[in-house]
Amino acid sequence: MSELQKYPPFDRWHDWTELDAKSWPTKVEKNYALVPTTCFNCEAACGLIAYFDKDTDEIVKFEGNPEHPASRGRNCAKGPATLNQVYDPERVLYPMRRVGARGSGQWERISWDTALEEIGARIRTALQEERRNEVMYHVGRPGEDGYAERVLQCWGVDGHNSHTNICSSNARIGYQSWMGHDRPSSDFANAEVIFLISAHLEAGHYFNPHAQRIIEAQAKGATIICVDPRLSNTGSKADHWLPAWPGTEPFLLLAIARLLIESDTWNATFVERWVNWETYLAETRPDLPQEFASVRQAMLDEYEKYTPEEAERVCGVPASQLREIAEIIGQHPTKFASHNWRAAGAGNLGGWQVARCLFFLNVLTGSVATKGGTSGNGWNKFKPEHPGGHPTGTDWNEMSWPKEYPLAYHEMSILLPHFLNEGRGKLDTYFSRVYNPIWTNPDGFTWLEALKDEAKVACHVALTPTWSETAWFADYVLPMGVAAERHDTASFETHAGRWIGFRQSVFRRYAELQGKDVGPDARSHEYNPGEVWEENEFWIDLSWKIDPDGSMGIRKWFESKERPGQPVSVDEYYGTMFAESVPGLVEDAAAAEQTPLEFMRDRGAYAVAGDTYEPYERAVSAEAIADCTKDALGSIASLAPSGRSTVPLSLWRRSSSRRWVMARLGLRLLVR
Amino acid sequence: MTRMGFLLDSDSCIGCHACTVACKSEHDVPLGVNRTWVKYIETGSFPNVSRHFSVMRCNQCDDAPCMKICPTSALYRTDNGVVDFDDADCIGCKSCMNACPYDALFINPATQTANKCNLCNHRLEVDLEPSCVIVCPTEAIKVGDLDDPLSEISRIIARDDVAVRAPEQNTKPKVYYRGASQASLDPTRTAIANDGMIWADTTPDHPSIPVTLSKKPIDMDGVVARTAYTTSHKMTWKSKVSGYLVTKAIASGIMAVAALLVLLGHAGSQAAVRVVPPMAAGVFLAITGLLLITDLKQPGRFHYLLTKGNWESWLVKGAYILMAFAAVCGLWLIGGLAESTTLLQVLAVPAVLGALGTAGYTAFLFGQCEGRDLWQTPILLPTLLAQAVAAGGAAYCIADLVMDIPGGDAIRWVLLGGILAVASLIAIELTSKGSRHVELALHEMTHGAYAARFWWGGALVGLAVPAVLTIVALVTDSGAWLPAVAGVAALAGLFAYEDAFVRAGQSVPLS
Repeated sequence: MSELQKYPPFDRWHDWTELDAKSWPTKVEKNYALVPTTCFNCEAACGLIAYFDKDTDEIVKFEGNPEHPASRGRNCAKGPATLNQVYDPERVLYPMRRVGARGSGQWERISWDTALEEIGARIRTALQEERRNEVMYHVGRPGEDGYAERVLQCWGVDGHNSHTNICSSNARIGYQSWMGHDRPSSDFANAEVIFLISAHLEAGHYFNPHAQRIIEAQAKGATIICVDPRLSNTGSKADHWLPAWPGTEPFLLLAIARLLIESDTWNATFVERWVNWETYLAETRPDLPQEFASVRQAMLDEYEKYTPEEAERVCGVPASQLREIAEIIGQHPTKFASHNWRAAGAGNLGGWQVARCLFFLNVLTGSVATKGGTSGNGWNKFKPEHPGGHPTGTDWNEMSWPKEYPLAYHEMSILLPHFLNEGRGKLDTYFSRVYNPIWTNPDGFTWLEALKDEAKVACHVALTPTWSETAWFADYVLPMGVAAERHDTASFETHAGRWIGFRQSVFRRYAELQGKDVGPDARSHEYNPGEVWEENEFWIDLSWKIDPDGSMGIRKWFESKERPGQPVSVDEYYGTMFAESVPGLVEDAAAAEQTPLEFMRDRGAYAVAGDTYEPYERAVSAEAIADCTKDALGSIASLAPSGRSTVPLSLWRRSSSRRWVMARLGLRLLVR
Repeated sequence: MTRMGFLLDSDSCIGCHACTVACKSEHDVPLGVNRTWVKYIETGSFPNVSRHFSVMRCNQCDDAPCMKICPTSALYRTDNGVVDFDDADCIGCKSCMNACPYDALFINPATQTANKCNLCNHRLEVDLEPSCVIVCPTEAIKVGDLDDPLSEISRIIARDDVAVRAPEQNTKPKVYYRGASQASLDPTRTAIANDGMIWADTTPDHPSIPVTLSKKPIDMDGVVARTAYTTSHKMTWKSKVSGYLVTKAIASGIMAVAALLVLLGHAGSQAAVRVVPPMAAGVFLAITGLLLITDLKQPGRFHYLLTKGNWESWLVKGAYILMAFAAVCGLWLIGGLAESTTLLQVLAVPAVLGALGTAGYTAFLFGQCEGRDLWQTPILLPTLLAQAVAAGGAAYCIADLVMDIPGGDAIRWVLLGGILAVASLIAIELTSKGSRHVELALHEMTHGAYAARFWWGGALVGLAVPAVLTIVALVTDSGAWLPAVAGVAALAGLFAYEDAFVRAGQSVPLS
């Protein structure tokens, strides 16, 4: 028997023959063109390949993309199910405009040109009348990196809104407080102890890439510890499932920290070198000698009450099990990979302490960005520059960033309907996208009340591939593509490595491969099912409608460099991005005798080279720390981004690379 | 040789269902049915509790009961050892679904034919791994040649602790499990608890063993865990099959009694021996055939039984037995119309043989149903024969109302004898020790969903009432009415019993 292959060899993707499953055992050959794209059914952005039947020009299935560095050709159940989304008989295929009362369910089909004209005119008027804050783009699952944010910046509006504050914000601030990176990047594959406050074997970011590496490590002997009040699949697979009472996780973690310190299995060398213990001693224990030797006693005193027995009483987890776990963790310095995303972090008041205490264990064990440890997302997530640049906005939208919440870490999106209902402000044009707050937010009826009222939300544009409770209360329902029908770039900190994934309209690419002339003026909706658009082109064309003559200074940001006076095409946009800001791609594409764009269109993903471990050991150039200050104790803090000397903490969102130093334990300076 | 098989690694499986969906996508499997799925069970009680995953699918048996019973060889083995199928040959008799001890087969609602995992043979043909293998995030599904000692799966099977499902069925399965909980491989050791499954509705088509989990997760009924997720499996053989058992018992019983009357020297009885019995038997044989054909999911293909017949299948053998018996009945009728006593005397022996075959072959057909241990009892053959005797006696006792039956009380003794024999055999069946599967099925028949059918219908109406009535009639010589009522009761009760037996046999979960 010849060796079985997992995937068709790459060099035959454009002309691949398999046998038809339904005709079998009659051998009916099916000739396919394989076009890669990126899954859009969660944030992980795994690779997919669309199989186009060349006889029918239809997609018959989606399989994994072996070229993808994170998903490595494998998928969860949601990957192959993309097929059901593309051919969902109930999906929205044409732009719809409301005709009856809002929410009455009466719609008429309109042309895209009408939709763009009408919405563009609204926004144009709002901008001209200095009502910039009445234009808002509210996104749930972005599924892309920075495209829409740039659009808003180019319009000069502070209109970005997210769902993060009911989701990952808590855990993010826990991590941010340690190292300036707001998410963990766990090197599960090489870990010897894996500590999860999440359900990464069935859900969460980034389920499939994480699950494969967690199980890989377990097969090699790693111990998996899972804290989850539910018997999740992850809890079932874990060597230790700790169903701590919800909200008591930090206590449990500090009890483990205490055990590590007590048994001297913590990594004092790492802590001495990288943690601002001088500040810690000065601020909390001026009575002790101000030397590193005092840190152990200071911590033992501070965590005195966090004994295993007390943890058993508080958390409901046996003290003996905590001792066993602390011993295992202590045996594997630098190979401790931990993760918290939402779970206990999102589910509890003060939940940010969950991530903060969890990463404390990484710091104590010195497993920060080590092989088998936990890195900061910024060190592994690769984010290319969007071409064309953008202006820096000066507006402040108090509907998303109310001044009474100066410590807000992300938009206070939960308050938006309340603000609208109490008359704090109103919205002229509200875009909702992959977001269904009427259904998913805890107070859906408040959203309903706000969204139904045209005095509060004058125009609601739902950008969505399918109907939803929120889209039902829109004025325009504009069908946007699913994973197979749109262009985006995505890159996430899925493992110890960096990569960029390219989502594309596989229908458009297939047409190109079939020899159709897909010129710079082409639009993906010409190839997608029905008149399903993609947002990239929607924003470009809408921006031109807002500023048709360029007098507002908006149009120029969306203009083709190659063809002045014409809107930039997605080919030009991503062609520039891949050619100019993905290290190594130009060379690898040249070696394959392709342009960087063709290279990405054919492969769908690219591994960005570079060692990701212990980046903080690299020398820092003087230029990189030019805007930093060093205090008397040697801790370094950066100034605000250019142009601002003092800013509220909430402006972190402007630049996630901002560094600051906690008054208590925090890493000194981890330069990205 | 090549013998392709799977290694399903429960150590690595995270229960994500990606394999289920990838398979659905590859083969366009409709809603509600599955070629493969992931079963969840939960063991223990909080906080010492866990969930276990095992992937369920066709076992590609080297000794495949589905292939043996398939009347048209729609299920067949390919050179690489895979048990494959051809929709074009399937008549939808569902016998494979009862033959398979693994719940692997289902009727595809789109094609109305039996489908199952075929190890993606169309992909193997072009040297590609099955779609479930490539999608699996944790590489928990491995495919390979079991005859190649160096293949990855051969090495794992050789060195690690692996298990197969239902080894006692001797089907030589080629799907191995590593790290699977024994309870998850044995569907009789888990049950769906009163509060149902997780993340899925429990429907009447989810077979669960007839115990409920109350407070203790470990039940005295031998249940050691709860079934937390599995797929539904519709019962395949129902009233039409129960009815077919009755109609062919009547046909064969009538001819057997007619032959008895010939041997007793009553060959000259024009109506009761010469003409009416073959006509009545013919009518009941026709009904038998009609029930069989209408029970097919592809009734238009019934003739495949003859044109594509698999001689290993008792469905095919049965079809020929029924036809042969019908032919004997036809000859009997000719002999009867020709008033040829000699011919009837000659035909008495083939008529008895045909009756035995018609009544009894189902024991061998049910015996091929490796998934239904209840039906595999050695008592089934004598039971079917005794039922035929009782049915023949019953039919004659009813006929006695309208025609003159020779032989005095002979037909009443036949009815009584048949009933007593059936009662004795059922009593033996109920009291003998069988496998756990048999005991669960018997429990379901006598104490579960089919208890009313069994006790009120099968035992009381079918056995006790006619026995008493016949005895009264024999003792008091009270005329034809009492035996006729006894006959009607016996036949009605026979149907109730068969229905309980057929359904209870399918009540035990196989996956």
